[in-house]
Amino acid sequence: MTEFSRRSFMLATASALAAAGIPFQVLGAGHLTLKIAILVEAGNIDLLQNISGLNTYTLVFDPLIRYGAGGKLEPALAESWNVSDDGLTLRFKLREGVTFSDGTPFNAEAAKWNLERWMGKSDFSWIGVSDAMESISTDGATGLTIKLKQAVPAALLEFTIVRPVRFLSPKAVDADGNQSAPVGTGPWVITENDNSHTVLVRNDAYWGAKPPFERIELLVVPDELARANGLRAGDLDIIGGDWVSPLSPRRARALESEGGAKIFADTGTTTMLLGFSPRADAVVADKAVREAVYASIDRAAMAKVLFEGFADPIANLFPPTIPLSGKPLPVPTRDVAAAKAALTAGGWEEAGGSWTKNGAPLTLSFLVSEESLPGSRRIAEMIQAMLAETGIKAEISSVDNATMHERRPAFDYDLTFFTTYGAPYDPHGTLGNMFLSNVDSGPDGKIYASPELDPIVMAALAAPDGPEREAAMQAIFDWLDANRALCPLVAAQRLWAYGSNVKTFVLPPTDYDMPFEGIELNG
Amino acid sequence: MTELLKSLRTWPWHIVAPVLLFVAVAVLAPWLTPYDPAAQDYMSILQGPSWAHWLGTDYLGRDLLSRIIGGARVSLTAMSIVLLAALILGVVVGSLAGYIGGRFEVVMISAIDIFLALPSLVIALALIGIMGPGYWSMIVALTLAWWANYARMSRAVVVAELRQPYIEAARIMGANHLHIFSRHILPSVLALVVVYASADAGALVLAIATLSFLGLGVEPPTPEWGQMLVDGMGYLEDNPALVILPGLALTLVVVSFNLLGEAFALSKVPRPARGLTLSRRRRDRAKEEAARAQVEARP
Amino acid sequence: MSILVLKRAAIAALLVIAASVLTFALVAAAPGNVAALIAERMAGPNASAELIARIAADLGLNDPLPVRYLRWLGDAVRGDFGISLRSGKPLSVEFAERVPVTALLLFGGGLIAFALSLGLGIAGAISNGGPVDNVLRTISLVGASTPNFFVAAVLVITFAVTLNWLPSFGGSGPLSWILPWATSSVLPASILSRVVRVNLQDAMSRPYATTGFAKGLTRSGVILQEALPTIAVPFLTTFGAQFALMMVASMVVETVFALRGIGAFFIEVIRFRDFISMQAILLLFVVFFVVTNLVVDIVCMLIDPRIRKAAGA
Repeated sequence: MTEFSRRSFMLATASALAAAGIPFQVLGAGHLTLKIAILVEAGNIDLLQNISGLNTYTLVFDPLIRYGAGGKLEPALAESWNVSDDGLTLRFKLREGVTFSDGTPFNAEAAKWNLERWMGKSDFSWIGVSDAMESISTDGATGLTIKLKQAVPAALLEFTIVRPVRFLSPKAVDADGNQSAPVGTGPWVITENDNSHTVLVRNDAYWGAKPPFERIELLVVPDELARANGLRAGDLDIIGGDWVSPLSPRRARALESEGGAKIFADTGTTTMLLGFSPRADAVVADKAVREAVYASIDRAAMAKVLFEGFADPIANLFPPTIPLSGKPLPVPTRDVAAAKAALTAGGWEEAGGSWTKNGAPLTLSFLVSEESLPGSRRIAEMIQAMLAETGIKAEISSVDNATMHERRPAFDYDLTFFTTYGAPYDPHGTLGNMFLSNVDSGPDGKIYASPELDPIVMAALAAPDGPEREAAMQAIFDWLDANRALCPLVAAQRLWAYGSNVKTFVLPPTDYDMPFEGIELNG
Repeated sequence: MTELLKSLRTWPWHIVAPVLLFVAVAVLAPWLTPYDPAAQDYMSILQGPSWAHWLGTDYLGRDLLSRIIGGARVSLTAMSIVLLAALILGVVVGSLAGYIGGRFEVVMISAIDIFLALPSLVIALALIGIMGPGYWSMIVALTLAWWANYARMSRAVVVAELRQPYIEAARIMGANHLHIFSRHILPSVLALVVVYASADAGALVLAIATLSFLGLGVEPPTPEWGQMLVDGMGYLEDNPALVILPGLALTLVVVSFNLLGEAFALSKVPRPARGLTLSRRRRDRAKEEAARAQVEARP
Repeated sequence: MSILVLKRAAIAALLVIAASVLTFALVAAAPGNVAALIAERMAGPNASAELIARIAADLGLNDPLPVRYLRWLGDAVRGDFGISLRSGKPLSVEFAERVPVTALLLFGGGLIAFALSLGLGIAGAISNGGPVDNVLRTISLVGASTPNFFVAAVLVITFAVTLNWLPSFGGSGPLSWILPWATSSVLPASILSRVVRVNLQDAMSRPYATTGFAKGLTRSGVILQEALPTIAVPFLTTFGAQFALMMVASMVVETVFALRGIGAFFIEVIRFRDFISMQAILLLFVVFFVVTNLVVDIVCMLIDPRIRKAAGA
């Protein structure tokens, strides 16, 4: 009896295992899947809402113009384009024979309909062409003309960004005109999307080169160690990037030394910097304090200790990989004596290792969110200790992402971390949003803003291409440096890691793109 | 109270010693730490144990031994403040409820019961949510989450004591309320509540570490075990010591307090008659059984 | 019998109502105006007074507190908990996504704790002072004192980092549940195994145990056949209490293993000071704790006639 029941149990188990195995075998034959970790759920991928992470959009939605490797503009939904000499007319010739993944044709009408959803709307005034839009007209099925009220120097570059400029099927909206489904012309189509994963299958009607594999799975893995282990175990193929699923330098070195996964590091396009509150009554409104903070920080040690060398110390607002990033400034070495001298010159008095001015102590509130900028808490601890040696007390306040987004625009801090937007948005993105006092930059807040700085930035953003623009940009950087308006720290390198399932890895043009182009999997 | 101290002397040293060791380390921390716990040394980050750093260093080159010792002090300080505050609050509210009686007592008992219906940590978290995170908000939240049990015990003792003939005698002899309370009742209340409170110390150390682990407690550069542990999670592969050392320290302290609590629970400390319904009494009995086995480590 | 159950349920309902009043009062007493907070999140720091007033009117914040409480409770009973300030989604949607995750965590962990504690407790009782008993006692003491986040870290170091057998985060298939389940079961299993052990010891000194020995049963025979059934009530009551506390542990376990359940959500909304979600989750917790106790009470009544009689008297 016992024997019999054990046998029947084992038989049952075996057949259950066999049954469970079947779908995997079917899937395995010819169905290659690229599994990418994402930090947070993909969300609704609405082109007009600031909820989803940007990278997922790039799988589904195409722009008119692509920001290619090194910042080269490449044709996408527009085959060609030209800008009139006065900069007021943009003409696009659209690609023929393109359809959205729901079968709706992409033509000039569909393009116009899309552009009208955001151009000229106050929510999108941060985009130059939206702010300056006068009219949009079509010319046959493939001609599209945009007239502007004033010239926008970075106009073409603005059409390469992710949201809201990409194109949605006009049928994928509800009665109120809100996006009802993420239907684009892109190489991938979303088939499943929930808070733990997103599945995309290849769009076989895609107009461009088709990827050599059929599926992409985006798996939500908020924990960084979990991502690394997923990569080690082969549950994940790709992790990394600034926004997709950040990989810490430490973990990158660990993965590298094990030899299983491969690391891909490249010079970064973003700068991590310490922002001073522009509030007039903040302690850091005192330039002497800003000078002292600036001089107290050992950027080289930071790059070496906390970034494991995967970062470059920097004194400029933008790294040299960004166009028009200005003359490189020498990276200052740490100088506690100079910091103290700056404070003394500013009327601060040292007593018992701390500073006071008119009875007020030198205490800075340091807003930090590990959630919005992974690794920033450790950097904050390091800066806190460096400032302490000068006698500046920094009180760290660790908050979550949402609170950060609330306190930053309210300038409810003395010190906080900022990261420049990077390619393709910079330099105009960061400058136009985070340095102009009259522009609403939403949760991003302001790196620095002052009525004195406004006209300088405005002039640079409006300057025509060429040496004039370069000089106007340099004027901004000179002003920022002369006023010690910010404290650049390091330019972190772009870090990705990929597993043995990936035959070739190609760095996406920007860290706002999802990696898949040029990537080949082992069959 | 004196009886309690007397009985303490008869206790096996191996139960009392670990707790005393923790207290001694915490109190003497500034003289014991070989380095400033916040001092960073970038030339020697993430080192293993050596003569210079007995337990190694962390990701900012801070001496781990110094941080563990410093963490003991932070834990003990926060725990003592909370325990003292919760004790005072609980004894005052509970005693007043028992002494005054009437409608006041009914209202207070209901309030106490509601607080006891929810786990302490949930109450503490809710209060932190309302006040906003931070060290003092953590202290206040934990105090308010912990007082109810002491209030219930105090009330029970006061009610029992009031029935004693010598109290009635004192009343008839015209002794005033304060005198009766402070001379006759308070000592019995304290004798019981202090014992329970000391058994709660382990649970409190744990709660403080948990809140810091969740990012709702102590902020850098103060060394705190729960926070050290969460910060070390990024270095699990190469430097698990950053996680294991603070975790071990925390576990050892909680084990010590729990052993002490178990010893207290087993010694013949008078217990108050509890709750009113059978269900409550039965549940309490079961709880006590669990406590006898293992003084409840309230998460 | 059914009257008894009803009486118990009535007490439970009263407790829920009382706790819901307290929850509501706590949040209503919170510093800062909810309308101002919402307006700030909608329009930034410079939200106009009109917007704040409009939101306050929409939410009925100008009504007297009792009216607001009744409306809130009424909506909650109908499943409408409002919209989370943290995620912008209706809380009913959040709950629908997250409750199953937490339920799976609690039931898996509870099952392990149930089986493990019985097994270990019985093994300890059989060994009775022998080496097995001593080892188990030490394990259960340490297990009951180890913070669950440390348990999680040790399990991750061992099984995910060193051995690489199991995924270190949840929500990615059946294997990924093992570490969260193990973590959340350590504390209840430790405490429960001691309860089993102590109560079995107690039962062995009772007359029926002697009868068992007289019938020629071995020590393990007496434990399994005579003593074990008698510990059902203390075991189940403690199990109920520990199961309820696992909900508290879920806050840490879900955070560590990145599970998107109610516990992790509670921590998120606390950090964000999302009072609307906090109220709703606290109400959910209260209902859970009270219902767990109620179920344990009823089960105990069903299995033990003495309690029925005593409660009826």
